[in-house]
Amino acid sequence: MSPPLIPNEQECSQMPPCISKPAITTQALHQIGYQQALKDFAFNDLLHQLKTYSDASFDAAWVALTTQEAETLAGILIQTLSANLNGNLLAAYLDATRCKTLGTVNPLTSLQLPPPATELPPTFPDVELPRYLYGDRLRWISNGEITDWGTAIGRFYSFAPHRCCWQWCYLIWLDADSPSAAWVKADIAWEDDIEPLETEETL
Amino acid sequence: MNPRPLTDREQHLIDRYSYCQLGMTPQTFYAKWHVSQEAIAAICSRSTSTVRCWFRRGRSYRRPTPTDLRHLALMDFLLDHFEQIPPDLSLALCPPRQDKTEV
Repeated sequence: MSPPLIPNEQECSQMPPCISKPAITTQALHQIGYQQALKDFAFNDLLHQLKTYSDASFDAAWVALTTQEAETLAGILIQTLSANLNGNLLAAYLDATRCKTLGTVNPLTSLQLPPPATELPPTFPDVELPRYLYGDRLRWISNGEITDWGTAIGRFYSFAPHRCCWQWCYLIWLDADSPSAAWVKADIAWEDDIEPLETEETL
Repeated sequence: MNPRPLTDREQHLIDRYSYCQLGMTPQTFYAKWHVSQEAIAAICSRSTSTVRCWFRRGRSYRRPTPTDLRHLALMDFLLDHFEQIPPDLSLALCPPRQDKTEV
């Protein structure tokens, strides 16, 4: 199964059946809306900037930045922005948008550098409590596919590149009827990738 | 039984292996060989749920570990070169599964 591909407007316009078909599926509508949202909120611009960025500290071409890494960076930058909102800045931007003078506002200056990636947080072990306990029944969060499930038999604190911070990671002993149990007994998963397994009685 | 002392050549081989940067990304492997994500999971001894995250985009993308990358690089090497490996070495490296032979 290949990774999902998101059609863009250009591809759609090059395929007449895509337009002339009387019924557009919910899935297709969702994809069109998704693409529009990426465009409307300047996410595509940010991705393009990241992929072509170059200065003395960072050169996207030199480090061979992959699409996935660029998307992860974009996600982290947006999260950082959300976590560092500043009242003065918001007031200035709101004023500018109402007066239609956006472009003359001071550039964002509140983005901060993330902590060094490989250093254990100095507060360890006084960090966030693990969400799950040994023996908890857990499954991987699904994106529509059947996922694996099992029992938490261990955990460790590790640096999560996708969050740019340290996070709990769990060792999960797969149930015998979990799909991947055919070739592996246990696997690890980040805390935000798993959820409690709600037992469903199917009798 | 006493462990066998190492020769210089053997020590050098261990050093080379320890610091070897051998690795292949799941995307490269997937593009090169006609395999399923389940096969990649089996090669890396990971669950399919984990492997799917390696192929996702955006926030739900997760990075494979260096061990996963090495598994894929070794598998790629074997697929490319197994015909040049003498049969006895190949058998010693990956002996056939013993289960389900006689039922």
